[in-house]
Amino acid sequence: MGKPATSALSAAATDKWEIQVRKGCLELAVLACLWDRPLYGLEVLRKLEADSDLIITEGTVYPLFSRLKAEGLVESEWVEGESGHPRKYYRLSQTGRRRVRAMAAAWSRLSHSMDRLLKPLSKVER
Amino acid sequence: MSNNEETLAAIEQYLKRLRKSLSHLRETDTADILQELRSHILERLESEAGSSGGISAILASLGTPEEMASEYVTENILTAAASSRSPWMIMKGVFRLASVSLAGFAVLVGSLMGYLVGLPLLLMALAKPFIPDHVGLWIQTVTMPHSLFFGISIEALQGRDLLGWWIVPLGLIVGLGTILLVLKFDLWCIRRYQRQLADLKLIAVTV
Repeated sequence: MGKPATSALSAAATDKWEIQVRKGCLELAVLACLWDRPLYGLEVLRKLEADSDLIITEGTVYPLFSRLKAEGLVESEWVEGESGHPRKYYRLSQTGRRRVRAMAAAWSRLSHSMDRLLKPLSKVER
Repeated sequence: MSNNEETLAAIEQYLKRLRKSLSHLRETDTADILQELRSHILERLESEAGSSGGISAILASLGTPEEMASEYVTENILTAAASSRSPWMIMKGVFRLASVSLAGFAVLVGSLMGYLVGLPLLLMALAKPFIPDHVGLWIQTVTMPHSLFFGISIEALQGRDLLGWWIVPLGLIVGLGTILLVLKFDLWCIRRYQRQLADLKLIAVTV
C-alpha cells in the first residue's frame, strides 16, 4: 500500500534533481562543443546529442547563444553554405576560451571529489 | 513541386508568427533570429528528408512560435537588465521575471516594497534642507490628542520635530541603502535565473 507510492515519489524527486544537475552543466557543454572549431546551432545540438546525453531544444540553444554572445564568450558570423542558405557559425572568443578552461577545471575537481565520495557505494552488494 | 511550395509556405507562416511575437526586440535582432531559424529548419528538412512527418513534424518539435519568441524575449530583457545597471532596465527585467516564474513574482513584490520604503526616505532627506518645517518625524501638539506625522507635509508642521536634522543622514543612508539593496538583489535574481535556464526542456534519458 505505502511502498509503491513512495518509490514513485522518490523516482520523481531523483528525476528533478538530475534535471537540475544537467542544467548546471549545459553552459559548459555548449562552450566545450566550440573548442575545436566553430559550429552552427544545429551542429551543436547534434554534437550534444551524440557525445553526451544532453538533449536540448532549439528554443533553448539559440537564446543561450544570444546570451553567451552578449556576455562576450562567443562570437558569431554568417557563412554562405553550399546548400544555398547562409549559416550562423559560433566560435569561442578569447574570454570564452579562458572561461571554458576554468569551468572545465572546476568540473574536473568536482567530479574527482564526487568519485572519491561515491566509492563506497560501488561496494554495496545487491 | 507544389509540395515544395507548401513546405516553404508552412515555414514562412511559422516565421511570420514568430516575428509578430518578437515585436519588442530591435529590428536587427529580429531579422537575425528569423534568418537563423529559417536556416535551421531548412537544414533539418534536408537531413531528415524521407522521414515521415516532414515539415509539420519539424515545426511541431520546435514548439509554438509564441513559446519560442517568449524564450528569446526573456533572454533579451534579462541580458539587457544584467548588463545595463540602470534601475529602469533592472525593473524591466524583474517585471519579465515576474511574468515567467512564480519566484519572479515574489521578487517583484519584494522590490516594490523596498522602493516603497527607500524612495520616501530618500526624498525626505533631500527635501529637508529646503522645507525643514514640512519634513520629518513630528509630534503635532496643535491637535488634541497629539498626532504623530512622518513624511513630507504640504502645510507647515507645528509641534516637536523629533529627529531634527538627523532625518538627512538617516534618510540618505537608509533610503539609498534600501534602494541599492533592492537593485543588487534584483540583479542577483536575474543572473541566477539566467544560469538556471528555468524554461529548459531537458529530456531525461532512460537507460
